[in-house]
Order: sequence, then C-alpha cells, then structure tokens
Amino acid sequence: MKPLELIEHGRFLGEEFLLWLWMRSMTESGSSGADGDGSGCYVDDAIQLVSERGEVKEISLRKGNPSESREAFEALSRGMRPSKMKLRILSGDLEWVFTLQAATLDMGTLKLPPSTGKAPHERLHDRLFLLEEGAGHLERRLQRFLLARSDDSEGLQEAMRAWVRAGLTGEPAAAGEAPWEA
Amino acid sequence: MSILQGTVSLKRFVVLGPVPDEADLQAGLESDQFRPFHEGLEEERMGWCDWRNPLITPPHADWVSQERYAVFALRIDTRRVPAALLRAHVDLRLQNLMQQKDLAFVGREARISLADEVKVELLQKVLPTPRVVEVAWDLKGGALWTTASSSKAQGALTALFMKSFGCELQPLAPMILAGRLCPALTPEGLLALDPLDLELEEA
Repeated sequence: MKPLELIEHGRFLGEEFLLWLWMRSMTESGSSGADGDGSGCYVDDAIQLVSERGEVKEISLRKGNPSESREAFEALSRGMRPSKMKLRILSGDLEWVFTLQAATLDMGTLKLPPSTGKAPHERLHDRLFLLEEGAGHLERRLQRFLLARSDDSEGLQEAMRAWVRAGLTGEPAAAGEAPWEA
Repeated sequence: MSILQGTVSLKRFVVLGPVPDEADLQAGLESDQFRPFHEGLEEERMGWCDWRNPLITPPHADWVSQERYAVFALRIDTRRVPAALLRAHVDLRLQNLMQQKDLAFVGREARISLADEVKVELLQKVLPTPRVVEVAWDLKGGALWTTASSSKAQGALTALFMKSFGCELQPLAPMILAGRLCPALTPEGLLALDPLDLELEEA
C-alpha cells in the first residue's frame, strides 16, 4: 500500500484516537491508564469536527471550553468526528501544548516545556529530549487505545456512545483525581 | 519555526533503508549541499545546510552528529520575476528592437528568446527567498523529525533524502505507528478494522 493510501486508510483510527483522548480527559482525568504514568492529557480550547455526510461538513469550536459544550456533543451524536484537536499534556512540572491532526498524527504549533540549555547544542539536546518525552506520552496513550480498539471494539464503541449520550444530556462526567494528585 | 526555539510544527517519518555510517552521511550532505543561484533561468534551488545557519554549507560534521541524532537542514531558495514586470520589460525591449531594425513584427521564436534574455537579466537582480526546513534523524530509532509542513517541502525532502542517503522516508501515519507500537497487531488485522459507529439514532 502506498503512503498516501495508508494515511487515508488510517484516518478513522486517528479520529477515534482523538475521540478516545477526549473521552479520557473528561472521564479518567486524562490519564493514560499505564501503570506508574502520572501524566494527564487534556483537550484544550480548540476542536475541529468533520463529517462526510450531512449539510455541515466541518465545525470548528474554539475558545471557552469546547470539549464540554453541547455543540460538540450534538455534532458527535450526528456522527461527526474530530479531525484536529488542541491538546495539553501535563507531567510533573512539564507541559506540552500542541494541535494533533487525526489523519497524520502530526503535531502542529507545539509548545515544548522550557529548555535550560544556553549554548545552541545544549538547547538542541534539551528540545529533542523534550520532544521525545512529549511524543512518548502520546504514544503510550495510542498504544492503550489500539489495544482496547482491537481487543474489544464493541465495548469501546458502547463506552463512547454512552459518553456522548451523557454529554448530550449534560450529565456530569465521572470525575476522578488528577493523575498527578493520586 | 524552529526545532531550536519557540513553537514548532513537526512531521515524523519512518526511515527505510540501511543507515549510513558517519562518513557516508557526511558525503551525502556534501554532494547535495546547497549551492546558490548563478546565471540561468533556474527559479528554485535546494540542498543541505547546517542547522545553526543556512549560510554554512556543507553542514559541519561536528555539528551534524548530536548524540544519536544527525541534525541538519534543507534549504530551498526560490526566486521569481513578477510576471507583470517581466511583461513590461519584454514589451519595451520589443518596441525598441522593432524601431531600431525597422521591423513590422517579431516572430514567435525571437519573442521567446528575447523574453528569456530579459528574464535572465532580471533574475540576477532578484534576491532569492530562502526557506529552511530542519531535520533531526534518529539514526538508532529509524525515525526522522522535520519542520517541513507543506506537502511541497515534504516532497523535496523525501526526494533529496533518497538521492543523498539511499533511504526512503515514509510518513508515520496512524497505521504505520500502530504497527510499530503494537507489533502484536498484524497489518491485516489493522486493515480489517471498520470505523466505530458512534452516531446516535435519536440524534
């Protein structure tokens, strides 16, 4: 399969991964679910949803708290899927903020934690390390999602549908301690 | 945007092919180093440069090697003569030529040749617009981070990378990343997955 075909074929997996991150940010305090991982991943203030069907093909929700808005859940209930989302990952004192693309999993406008290096090569080493750390947090989550997706697709589908339903009715999401407070 | 400072947009590729040793890596960077425009009608030039400064070519070996990474940059220069300006210069030159030689008209081939001549002259006066795309190649992990965000820059990087190092770059899309993160999941199994149905009937 050619690279472009692979990207196109995997687009839905990327969209579902974004949705999974979104769900966990509201129901599991953004934890990855991996043992000993105290990081949290949260949806920030921008979500773009797309659909191939219906009269509206794309919705951008920005500023405020779009991830908990009724507009977002109404769009999800109509079958729209997140194509792009601004995420915030927290681990200890470190914070990564970036926009994640569903189709390619590219990280756009990534803000890394501050580097302490002064010389260019020190700063480069710091930034590459922080980049790997941020990507690692995301990949740990992708791994958990993929296992859940392949082991129990129906269970995951039901959990997501229940979460969307709860979001529509305005039911409070299951609150938990933030992972770093546990 | 730069890997070195500020916010950055990144694309990740998988590198397929044998990893070159330090000498081969440097040889590839030197043979396809960025070379500035000279005379001629060329409007685009590209080549490798140092990540610290795009004027340093070829990339300095001591700075390319950064722990397990090879770090360098791709410089893409473009220069264009604005079409309206080119047309105006060519028109003026044609009028002068017709007056001097008392011609009723100038043939198509002569017009093209004159336009090329004018374009070459004007291109010498145009400052190129440089674009620098950074590359951090994880030689052990077989992955590559780049700030190339447009498909054009990614295409240029992929093509030159193959030419210089004989390695193919493949975008690390969800399907490929899934295979790397969960080796137990077979490609057939991943390709057989259907999208989840999340539409609510009552909606």
